[in-house]
This record gives sequence, structure tokens and C-alpha cells, in this order.
Amino acid sequence: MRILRFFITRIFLKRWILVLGMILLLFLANYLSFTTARSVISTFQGYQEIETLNQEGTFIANLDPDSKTENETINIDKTRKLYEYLDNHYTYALQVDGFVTSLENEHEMEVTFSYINEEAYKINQFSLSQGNHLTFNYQFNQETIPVLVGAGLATTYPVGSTIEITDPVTQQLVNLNVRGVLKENTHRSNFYAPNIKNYFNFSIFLPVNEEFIQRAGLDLHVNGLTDIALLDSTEDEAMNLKEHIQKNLGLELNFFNQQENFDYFEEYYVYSLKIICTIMFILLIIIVCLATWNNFTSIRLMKKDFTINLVVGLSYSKLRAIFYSYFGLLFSINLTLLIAITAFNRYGFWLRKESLYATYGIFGLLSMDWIALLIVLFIDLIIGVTIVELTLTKIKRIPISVGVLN
Amino acid sequence: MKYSLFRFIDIFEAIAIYLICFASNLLFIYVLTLDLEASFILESFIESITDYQLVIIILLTFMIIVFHYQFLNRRKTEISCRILVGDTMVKIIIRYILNSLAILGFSFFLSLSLNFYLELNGTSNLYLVFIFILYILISAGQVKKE
Amino acid sequence: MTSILKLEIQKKTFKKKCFSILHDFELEVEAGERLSIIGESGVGKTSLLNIMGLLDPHYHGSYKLFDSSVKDLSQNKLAEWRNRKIGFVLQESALIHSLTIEDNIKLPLLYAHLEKDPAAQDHFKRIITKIGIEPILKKKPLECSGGQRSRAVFARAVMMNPQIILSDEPTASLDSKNKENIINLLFDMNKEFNTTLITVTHDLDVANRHERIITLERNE
Repeated sequence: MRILRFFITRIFLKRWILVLGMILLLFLANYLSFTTARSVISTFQGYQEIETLNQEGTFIANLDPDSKTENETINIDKTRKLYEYLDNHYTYALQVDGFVTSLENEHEMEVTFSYINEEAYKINQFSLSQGNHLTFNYQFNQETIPVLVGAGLATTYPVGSTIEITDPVTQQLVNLNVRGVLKENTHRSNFYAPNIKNYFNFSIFLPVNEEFIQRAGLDLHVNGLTDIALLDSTEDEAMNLKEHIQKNLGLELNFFNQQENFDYFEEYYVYSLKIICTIMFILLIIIVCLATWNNFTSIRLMKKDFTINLVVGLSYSKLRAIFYSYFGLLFSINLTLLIAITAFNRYGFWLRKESLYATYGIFGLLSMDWIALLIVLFIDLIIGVTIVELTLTKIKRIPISVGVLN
Repeated sequence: MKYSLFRFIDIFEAIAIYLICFASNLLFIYVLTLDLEASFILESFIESITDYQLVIIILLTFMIIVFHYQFLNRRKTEISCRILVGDTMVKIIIRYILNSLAILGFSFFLSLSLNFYLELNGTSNLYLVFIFILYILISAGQVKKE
Repeated sequence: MTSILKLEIQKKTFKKKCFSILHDFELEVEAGERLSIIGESGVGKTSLLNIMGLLDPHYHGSYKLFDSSVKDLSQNKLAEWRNRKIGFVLQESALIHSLTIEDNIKLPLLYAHLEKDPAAQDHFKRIITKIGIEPILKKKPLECSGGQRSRAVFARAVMMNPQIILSDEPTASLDSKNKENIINLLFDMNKEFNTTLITVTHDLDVANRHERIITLERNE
């Protein structure tokens, strides 16, 4: 430890620019690996969520990218009839998020409403930290509507409390009864960007039944349709619905079955992840080359210091240990910096009151952040071993007499 | 034998670092021009890096500071020797600045070929050139003898 | 005999280290003289050599070299004199490690713009033959022995046939044979070209072979 301190304070830090250069390069390597690892983990998590929905007999709707929908032709009467048709002929899962409303809460966050029907609720199996699950057989306007609230609203609106609010989709004053509290960081991944997630810490989950849908506005109807999933259905039934929607609303939707979805997602995800990993790999190689060069230049300048220490009794194995400890220290500094930056980024969502991204966690970090940090640590190990061993080989090649003379 | 403090390996190292900085900057700009809407995953990943484009590039340019620092440290004996045999510090500093600028200029022109290949504006790397000139001028103050 | 060097120093101060040396020091050297400077470590022998060699202008006092006041000379003139009139024989490490021995020796020719001059090339050949370093011309300094490096330093110092040769411990770290070699080469220059020799040394044997010995003492 004393030798290490001597080397760090008297040899390495004497040329602090080189140490700073190394820290910056390793930080770049860490940041890039971290971003990539988190993207991959988040995509994988999202893919798992999609897998639970994408079962046999399920057809997930998707707005045709080539469609030229004229929104003027869609009106509330037509969409009501369409949902009536859906209720009579199909089993479907529907969840629509992101209807913002202002509701007093201790963090002064915007509150979003998430509308979910029974089938979607069953598929998602959200975990609760308190209270009971939702029930869907309430009568709109005659009794209070049971809701779930996000963890961030649990203190202001505990289980059993009532919320009186104008519902954003029906525009009617409703009484909501808090039945349960969602677990912290309950989220839903975007189908087409599974690495992007909406967190429901400041959301209210409102159960949707047939009656509610009939009272709801056009926004909920149209948005619901573009993400709707037909359950226990057949190819013909899906085609019939597609034609029905096109005929009545002029909306061109594609309904993809399980296999089509798997094929599409796998091709799309694998392609994207392949490119991400390739970019990361190339950047890492460049950075490691630069870091190795930086270390070699350090050796060129510190040749005399190293060889004099070798003359007076330092062994190569001790020198190796010193280098590993030194790099361990640099990596620790970088990882701490990375944790601080990630925590600050996460905290930024709280500061900017972006309720759909505000999350809870140790130091503000989520499990995926910690896993990504673990991967970064592993990559650091590889980088560290590469640089230290190359450095040692280089030092061993310097004849001690020449080093001292330098 | 030349008056310059730079040897072939130093020139090669400097050009390589300049090119890495220029190429990284151009690739960032190029990626921003791509239509990535077909892949939201890719788009959000690239965004998470390009959001910090300037910071990343500035961090990379630090390698040029490292280059000048180690170069001038290694050349202290040579500077002393040259002064012994008839050179002056002022001339050495001027030559150092001119040589460094020439290497920078050459690297910049090399990087222009990437500009043309990627069909990017030729001035995209100019701000980096100014940063590097600043580094060269600052490092000229560190030209010292043993 | 004519005086070519007249130095009067009140003191030489090191601001960073807050101390001064060479208090009220006076020295006059004649052309062709062999002078050695001895004294304990830290009394200012090398500093004195740097002042005499036009490398250090920071001292209180006056310095006349070749009948000119050094303080009135421009930097370019000082550089020209270092190139043409003064030769430095420093310790073996004063070579540029990235250049070959040949390039190191020819370095003064570069600054005198005589690189391609046939007379200078002949002179170079004569020197290296006399010193016996032809086999190492293409080698880098770190590939040579200590004795070979010392001879290379000497060769560089005499490349321009200087009027004064300033030597700082020229024989330190050399064995007796190489030491004898270097001393003989210096004295040959003195005899052949009337070159003034000023040698800083710890070695009394070397000092005693000079015409005059100056002992520097520490200021109390």
C-alpha cells in the first residue's frame, strides 16, 4: 500500500495531465459501454413484456405506415359504433396511456391517466404494493370508480381515499376510489422502441368497461384502436375487423399474428442491437487504442522512475500489482462518476416534473442501471488487463541500464 | 537532418490523433443527418450519445494536449543540445508552432476527404481546428530546456 | 597574450531557491590558456560555465567576451557565437537520443548552414577518424558505450573549430583509458589551434594538468 501510494503521488501524479487523459478516455469507454448495455437490457426487458402479450391467437393492431387517414371522416358516433361492434364480436385488450391532468400531490408532478380494460389488465398482471386489484363491473356516474395509483401518489392518496376529478376522456366529474397502489417503477415499454418506457409512478389506472368506452371521447377511441390487441382470434376475424374499421372509419390498420410479430420484432430488434453493438465495439477499440497509447507515452516519460525503482528492489510482479491497483483506482473514479451522472439524469426527470419518466431507486438508479454498471465493470476488467499487460511487456523490454540513463 | 523537433513517429502519432478527433466529429454530424425513424431503438441509442457530442469530442481533443505535453517533455534534452550548438529558444518555439500547425493543417485536409465522402459541409471541423490551434499556442509556452 | 574573456560577477541569484552564489567573482582568461575550475558540489561551477557559455544571462555583473559586452549582444548573435566560437563538452547524456551519432555530431553544421559544405565534410571525417568513432556513426546514443558517447560529445564540440572549449566534468564516469583519450584530445586541440580550454572538474589529476586552477569556495 505504501509503495502504491508512493507511485501514485510521486510518479503518476507528477505528470497529472497523463493521468487526467487516462481518466477521460476510460470515462468515455465506460459511458459508451454503459449506454449500450442499458439499451440492450432495456430492449430485452421490453421484448419480454411484448412476449407476454404476443400469444397464439393474438392479433396486435398497427397503424399502416402508408395509410392516408383523413381524420375529418372519423367522428364519435362512428367510433362508438365500432367499439360496440368490437364488444359484441371480439375479445380485446386495450390500454391507453398519457392523458395528462392536474391533480394535487406532494411532488407537484403532473398526473397521467392510464385507461385499461379487463383483458389488458389480466395480461399485464401489475404488482401492487398495497390494497387490492381493480374491478371492472362498476356503473359509470352512479358509483365511485375503483382505481390504482402510482407509488408517487400513495402518500397523498392512500388506499381507501377518494379523488374527485374531471376525467380527461369523458370530461365528466367523477369520483375515484383508490383500491390499490402500484409497485414502484411499474412501467410499460413502447412496442416499437422497447428501450423507451413509461413509468406509472404518477399515474392513475382507471378500469375501462363497455359503458365507460361508450362515454369516452374520440381521443381514447382512436388511440385505443391503433394499439388494440385481439385475443383468442383467427386470421379471418382479424381481417374482417380490419375491413370493418377501414370501411367505417377510413383507418387502415394492420393486424399481425403472433408469428408475424415475432418475425418482425426479432428482425428489427436484432438488426438494431447488432448496429448498436458494432458502433460500441468500434468506438471501444479506438478508445482502448488511445488509452494504450496514452499509457505508453506515460512510460516513455517515466522510464527512469520505473527502472530506478526496479534497480533498488521493485520486482516486475510488484510493478504489475501497482499497475492493476492504479487502474482499479481509475476505474473506481469513473464508475463513481458514472453513477453520479446517471443518478443526476434520473433526478432530472423529477426536477423537470416529467412524471412519465420519474423513477425510484437506490441513488435514483433502476435495476437496469445497476446491471449495466456490472457489465461496464466487466468491460473495465478486460480493458484493464489488456492495457496493464501490454504496458508490462513494454516495460520489460526496456534494459534497466538504458532506462536509468534516460 | 532537420531543424524540426518532430520525428516521423511524432508526426504519425499527431496525425492519427487529429484524424480520430476529426473523424469522430464528422461521424456524429453524419449520424444526425441519417433518417433513423425506421428504428426507434437505434434512434434513441444514437440520441443518447449525440446529445453529448460536444462533450465527447472535447474529451477526445484532450489527447492532443497529452500529445504536446509528452512530446515537449521528451524533447527537453534535445532543446538544450540545440541551444548549445547555436539555436535560440525563440526560434525553437516558432519552429515548433509552425511545425505543429503544418501537421494540423495536413490532418485537416486529409479529413476533408471524409467530408466529401460523407457529403458533409467542409467547415464542420473548423471549430476543432480553432481548438487545436489554441492548444498549440498554449503548449508553445511549455517549450523548455532541461 | 590577449584576454578573450573577462567576467565580473557580483552575484548569481536563484529566485526560486532563494539563495545566491558566485559573490564578487572575477575572472580573466587569455587566448589559448588551459584553465580548470574546481570546488565542492553546489558552489556554482556549472552555473559559472553556463554564464561563460552564453547560456545564462541572469546574473548581476558584466561579461566581456572577444572584446564585446555580452549583455549588448542579441540572442541571434549569442547563438551564432555558441555555434562558431564556443564548444561544449558536457557529460555523455548531452546527446539527442532520437538522432544517430553522426547527426548529433553534425548538428552545429546545420546551424552554421554548412551541412553540404565540402570543407566541413572533410573536417568531420578528420575528426571522427582521429577520435575513432566511425563504427558507431549510424548508431543511436543509447546503443553506444559511455566512452563512445563521451567521444561523440567531444566531436560535436570541436566540429566548428571553436576558440573556447567549455568542459563540464568531461571525464566523469569514464575509465582511465577513455579519460586519458578525452584529455589528450582536448589538449591536442589546445596545442594545434590555440583553443582556450576551461574545464570544470572534481578530478584533481585532470585539474593539475591545466596551466591554472581556480578553486571556488562556498560563501559563508
